[in-house]
Amino acid sequence: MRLVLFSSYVPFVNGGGRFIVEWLEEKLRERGHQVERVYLPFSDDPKELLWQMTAFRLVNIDSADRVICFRPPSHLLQHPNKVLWFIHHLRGFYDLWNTDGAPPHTRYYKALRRAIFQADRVALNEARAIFANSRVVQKRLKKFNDVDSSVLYPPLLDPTAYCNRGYSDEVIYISRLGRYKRQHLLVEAMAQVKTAVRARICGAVPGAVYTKELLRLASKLGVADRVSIENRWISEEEKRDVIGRSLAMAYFPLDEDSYGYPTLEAAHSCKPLITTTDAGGVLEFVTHEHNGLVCDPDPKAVAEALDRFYSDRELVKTLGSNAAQTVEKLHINWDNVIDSLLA
Amino acid sequence: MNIAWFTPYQQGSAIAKFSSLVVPALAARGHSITLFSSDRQPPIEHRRLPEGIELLHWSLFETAPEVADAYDLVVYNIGDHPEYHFGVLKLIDRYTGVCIFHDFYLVDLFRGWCATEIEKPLAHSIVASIYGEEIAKELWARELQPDFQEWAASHVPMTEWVARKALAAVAHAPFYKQRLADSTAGPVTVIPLASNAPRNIARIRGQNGPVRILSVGVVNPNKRVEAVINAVAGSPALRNRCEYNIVGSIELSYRAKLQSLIADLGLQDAVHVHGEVSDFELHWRFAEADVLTCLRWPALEGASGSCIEAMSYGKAVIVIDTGFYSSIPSDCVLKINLAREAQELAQHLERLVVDVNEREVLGKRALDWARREYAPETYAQRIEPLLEAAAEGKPSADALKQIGLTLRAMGVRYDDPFVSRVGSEFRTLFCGDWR
Amino acid sequence: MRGGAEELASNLCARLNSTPGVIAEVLRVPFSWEPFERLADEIFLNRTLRLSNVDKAIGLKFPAYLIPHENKVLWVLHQFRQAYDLRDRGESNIPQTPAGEKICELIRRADAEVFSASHRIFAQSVVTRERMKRYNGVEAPVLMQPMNYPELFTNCGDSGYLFAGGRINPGKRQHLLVEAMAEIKSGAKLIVAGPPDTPEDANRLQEMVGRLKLEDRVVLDLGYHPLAKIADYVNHARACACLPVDEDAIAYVTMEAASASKPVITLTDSGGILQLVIDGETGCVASPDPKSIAEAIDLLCSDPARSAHMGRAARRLWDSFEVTWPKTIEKLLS
Repeated sequence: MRLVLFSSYVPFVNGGGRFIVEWLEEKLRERGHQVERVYLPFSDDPKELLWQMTAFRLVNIDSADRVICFRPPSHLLQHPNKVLWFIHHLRGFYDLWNTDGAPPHTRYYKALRRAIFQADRVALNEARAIFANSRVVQKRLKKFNDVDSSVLYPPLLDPTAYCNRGYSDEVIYISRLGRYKRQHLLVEAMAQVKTAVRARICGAVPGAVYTKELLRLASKLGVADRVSIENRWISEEEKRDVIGRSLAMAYFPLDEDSYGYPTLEAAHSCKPLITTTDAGGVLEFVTHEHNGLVCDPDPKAVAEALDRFYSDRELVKTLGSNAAQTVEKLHINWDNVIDSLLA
Repeated sequence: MNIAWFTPYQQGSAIAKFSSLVVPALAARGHSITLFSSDRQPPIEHRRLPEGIELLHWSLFETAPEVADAYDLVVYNIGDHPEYHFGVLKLIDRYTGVCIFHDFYLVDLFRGWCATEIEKPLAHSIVASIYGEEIAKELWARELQPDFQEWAASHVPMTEWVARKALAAVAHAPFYKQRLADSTAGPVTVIPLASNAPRNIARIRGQNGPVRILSVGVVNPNKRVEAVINAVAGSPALRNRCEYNIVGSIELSYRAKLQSLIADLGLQDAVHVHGEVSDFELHWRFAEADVLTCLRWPALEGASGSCIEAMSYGKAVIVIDTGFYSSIPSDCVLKINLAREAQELAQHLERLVVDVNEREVLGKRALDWARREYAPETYAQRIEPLLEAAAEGKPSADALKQIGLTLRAMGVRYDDPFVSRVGSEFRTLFCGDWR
Repeated sequence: MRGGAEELASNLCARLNSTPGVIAEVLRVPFSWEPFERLADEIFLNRTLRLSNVDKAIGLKFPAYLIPHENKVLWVLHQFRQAYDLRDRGESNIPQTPAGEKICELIRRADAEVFSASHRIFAQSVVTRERMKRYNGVEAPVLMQPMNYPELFTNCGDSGYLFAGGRINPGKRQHLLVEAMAEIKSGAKLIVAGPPDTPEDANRLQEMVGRLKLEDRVVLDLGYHPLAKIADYVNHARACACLPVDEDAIAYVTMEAASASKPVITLTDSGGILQLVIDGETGCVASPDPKSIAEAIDLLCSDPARSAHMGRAARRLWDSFEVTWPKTIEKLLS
């Protein structure tokens, strides 16, 4: 089968949206499939949406037997065998419509929103199959577009490279630095711990303003000696090593729409997760006291979780091992992905 | 909705009067409306403003473009007079809006615009793109011929020229709806023209006074006053019993021509040319009239404001069966056939002069009809769904315009099948099946 | 589909990424040109895409080079030749009908617009430059695509053979070379090394060697070889041969030969290579028939001193073009 992976992108912006495509490409090739990747640029400026969407609608990839579409508006492609692996909508008009990030709610933008919904409805209903990368996204597709989809969780590129090198005294938070990721919650929690547990925050992409805030916060709370905050780029190898030696992974983004790669990285390394009740898609993976701890999103509760892991290494081992098994249970592997997409 | 309502607002403009009636009615339905005068220069003397409504000038959209952002929708009133609608033509390409077509004949508007704003080759290609190369050539060749208006009205009315730019369109009579629908990408509705009449109409007539025939409106050959004069002259009954008042602005040369005709026919006592009169005198003339003649050939307006006014005064009205007039119920006005204008006009006048009852019955039916059809509140109610649909279609219209610019830059001709293919892909995607 | 343009894009991207202060990505746009009416869609589509977060764009090929950007440089390998010279030759999918003419007009117009809107325009070969001048009235300086590992190719002496590298397919015409070997008068030897596009391409050459009984003087080393091995072949050759039909650019094979100071045999209709192979000075330009090619082979391979002399001239000429990656990137980014 000649396969094309089709997605939209903003040049030089890397992230989950690109990894899912590029890792799938590699895995498909490993299995001997003929596959090509097509990215077309897309700007989400509201004033330019409809005619850009029209351009995507005119794209022709008939040379492929099947096309898998990812980021919008790639799903508008016309193709007899179109499969969608849906990651997110044009969020400003969908799940973020009632937040600060949305366009103004003038009549014009409401009409624009309806036009987008109309187009999405047409495009989604043409698909041979629709997969969502999480239950959160699956629910959104149903709620906003009245469309059914199956959940298909994205695996890490190379899960076997992750390992467990024992449990140190350090809980880590390795993720892009940002307010929505709430690394500050970990810093605040460290001010309330009673044990000698330590924390390390590493940012894959340095965010200057927020990093400064974190450093100031750590200093103000007097925890700078127990919380290391590293805003430097970290290599894959070093990351795996840091995770492999850690006690546990803290990961509590606000209302994330999928469990996130850090969750998987921890699980493959047999590390339990500390997350919060409002972390959104993370809770599709983490179950309290089964493969991690789910606390209220306040420093005291998180501190208790930190202390608990520090004091109870058996618990850590058990939850960590369960986390690794959760990956199996949720069928988060490339065979499942590829079988589903090519069915 | 916040609406920017573009209209002439000079004192003499019938459309200004229309706007002064409809805008408050729309505002009463919960919309926030600002009037923008589309007159080339801000009117020195403008019509009185409805309460709570602000009047600005169209040029503000040019000098302060951020002003445009405050409005959900723009409404343009379109008529044939170049000076009245100059602002519309300046803005409509950049700010698409709902167009209310008071006239379907826009040739004078087009020629006025061409005289100062665009070069001849472009003007020619605009006409050619709508009506074809042959007609475009004829337009300039026939300009000075006496039958120009009649020929142009049927061959090259230029309605499409503006309709193509419209987000949505309103026609005031069914007869030109299709023309608009064929050119406008958005929805098109027919709404009978709004007018109003004073509530208390004093009947000013003496028992033995003459039967008063009245015609109102700019006096020119299109209005066929000469036909009425000749009808009166040709009938002893009419000569002796009628007074024919011709009210409305009139060019000196034409006035002289009419006076000469009247003198030749010896009708100086019966037929009077008054020229333009004040609002007060106009009201009085309407009130005292027994029969109104609203004859037009060809019908150039969307709807006839003066005919509606006459009906709103509860008068017996004689019209030619064409255009807007054909859409009035036949038991509310007397319709005559142009081919038999002279006979039918004389017959109807002679009968009405004698038959008071018929005048009153006809007048009452006309009044009832007008009250229902032409009330400003009714207009506002009828135009509202169109305004909503237009606002809904604005993002798509903006995108289509952008696409059109790209296609034009590519060098694709407007009639290339590729254009309709892109348009159809767009509509399938964004518009569902509303068309 | 990986062709010359694809490789160039990857190479250019890699080189840009190793330039300080620059990060680069390749944007590949799908392109289907059948049925010919589709070309209008492609033009529209590419003109409607929006590039954000990009400081500079380098357009290499139609229709991708139509994507708008305020700071765009064109480095044209070739335009959509089916609308230009191939159409004149009757080898186009765009028919000679009014509809076809309309499409050509759209392409010409789109090209004209992108040429005038671009910050700078370069042609990748003289051939392309001539075409752009002739069909679009555009003057574009030539900026050739450099080879990737020039340091691998140096003169390591003369082991006496003629070397023909590069992909093997009918367009590259290695079969003509083999045929010519049946007509040589000197004792020249030929080594052909490179990946055949298809098994048929390999079989054809092997069959020819067998049929013409050339086993003693022709070695076929077919398959994909690491660059070091190819370099080895080139560096020890007496002369090289590169004789594709109508190729716009100077093939890497020829650049490699010149870098190693080897004279080159090519043909009158080989295209852009003729910028580098000057008959009698830096190599031989033969007619595309075995007899003429055989004469060229005899000429270059029978006299080592003459070959060395011409090889040095080839090297000097090549150096004078200054086709290096640093220089090329400097021009593109200026």
